[in-house]
Amino acid sequence: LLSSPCTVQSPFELVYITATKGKCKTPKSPLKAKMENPKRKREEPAKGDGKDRLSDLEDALIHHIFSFLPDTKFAARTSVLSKRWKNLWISLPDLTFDASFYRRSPSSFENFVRYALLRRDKNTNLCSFHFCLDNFIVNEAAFRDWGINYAVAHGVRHVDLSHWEHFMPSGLLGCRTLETLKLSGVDVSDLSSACFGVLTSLHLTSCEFDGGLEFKDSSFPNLANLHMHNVCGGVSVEISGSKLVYFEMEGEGKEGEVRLCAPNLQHFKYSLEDSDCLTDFVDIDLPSLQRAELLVYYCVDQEHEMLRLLNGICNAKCATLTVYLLEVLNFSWSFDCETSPFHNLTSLKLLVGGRGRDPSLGFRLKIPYEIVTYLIGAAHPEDVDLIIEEDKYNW
Amino acid sequence: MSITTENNEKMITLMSSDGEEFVVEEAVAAQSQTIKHLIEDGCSTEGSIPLPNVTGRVLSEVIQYCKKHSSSDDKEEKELEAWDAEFVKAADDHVALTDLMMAANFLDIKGLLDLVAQTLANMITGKSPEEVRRMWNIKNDFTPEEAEKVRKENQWAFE
Repeated sequence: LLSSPCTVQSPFELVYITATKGKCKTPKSPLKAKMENPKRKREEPAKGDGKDRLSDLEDALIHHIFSFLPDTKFAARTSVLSKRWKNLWISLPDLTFDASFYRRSPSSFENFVRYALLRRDKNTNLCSFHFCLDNFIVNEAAFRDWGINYAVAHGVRHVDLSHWEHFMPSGLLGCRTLETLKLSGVDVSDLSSACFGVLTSLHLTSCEFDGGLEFKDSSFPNLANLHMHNVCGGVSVEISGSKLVYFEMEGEGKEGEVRLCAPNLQHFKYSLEDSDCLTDFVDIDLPSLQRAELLVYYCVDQEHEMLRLLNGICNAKCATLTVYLLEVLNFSWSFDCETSPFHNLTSLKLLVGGRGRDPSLGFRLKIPYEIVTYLIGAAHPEDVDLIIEEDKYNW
Repeated sequence: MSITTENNEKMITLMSSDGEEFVVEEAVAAQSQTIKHLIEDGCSTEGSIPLPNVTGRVLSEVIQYCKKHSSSDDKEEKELEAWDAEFVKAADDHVALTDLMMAANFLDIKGLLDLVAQTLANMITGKSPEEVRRMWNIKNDFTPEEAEKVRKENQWAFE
């Protein structure tokens, strides 16, 4: 049963009555006292002049502030401030519903989402819709679908589903207005059958899939940025978008066979932090590649896969590699008769230090200069900038 | 008018609404999309660029931000974040954040606009309506009956 929240009386209602009745000064909070510090007052009269500058902002700017609130209920709460604020939140173009802010009263999550969407101004198109579930709050599929379908029906452009732990909502698959899609904890097996005509950015984090996952022009004709972080479970991933310029993968080697053939890809980034298993790039063809980053921090007995990956990024002008990766090559391969996979290299950056299983190892490892010489190539080593940098990531 | 410095950096003069002049490198000024477009359209050749909506006091804060962000492309993100946090704290001592926000909006500096919006959002989150009113001098113009009605309508937001 739903309890009525009106029984909860907060002290501010009482303060408000005295404040309006007698126009008396409200009791000073430490903050107010600080603002009335005489020194400050002399320096900038603007601030202590009693003007309500926040309410004076135009609606679009207040909406912009609202869009940074961690949940839309905090925007709805401003409706009681004054008449100016009463209806400001109902035409908010960016909505965020995060169930973790409702743990104290789980039923109010669904109640508030339903209220907010029904109350919302029908003529305002949705820009972004962030729907974040929580393990502690059980909600029905019908409710989740209802929320998604509302967003789709109102022309949503950016969708972010977090802690979803469910199947891909089918209503989203046919969304024609979607430009950015971020999914975390979603079963994305059905994604290949979607048709996202204007989607340019797709972020998948901790998502699972069965069978094969495909990112082709037929389903994703405008996809420019693809991020896959710990996407696993299937047999194969095939990526062949002709508009794709950025690809980032954080692997665990559980993606199955990966085929990446992107004629216009500029920037390739691959990270492997704490897993034995390098992702199996069985086919990789990136003719327009400018920048490649291989942030591999742990890897044993996979020098063949590693070399295949290095060959796959052979067109890169700027490459970033870790000292771990060089160590793997150094340890297990003889380069005497090999030529460098890189043939357009202008800059090679080496990251020293690291965040693998044994971070200090990254500092202890010496840079194997014969491998560096091999990678830079014998032809024009003076044309390649070698940059050695301490790994800036935290570990 | 464009002056060049020793290192051949083109300089631009910006004039605030209260007549204060600021000479800055073009790369710094171009952090503002509005100014960038004015420069591209050739509006800077005749003396200085007038900014009728921005006072000198606000403009000097904005320029501080632009200087930092135009010179730190290669710097670590974390350091820049820490600088931003200090900047909004310090800026709030000199100009109202709302003035800074309006300037960032007019000058079209997305990074600054988002930074200020995020700061203001943080100041609202978790505060009671009365605290928010006090902080911003917002006058409650509801009658007690109206206030009760609005509160009741939005009850789920207060759970």
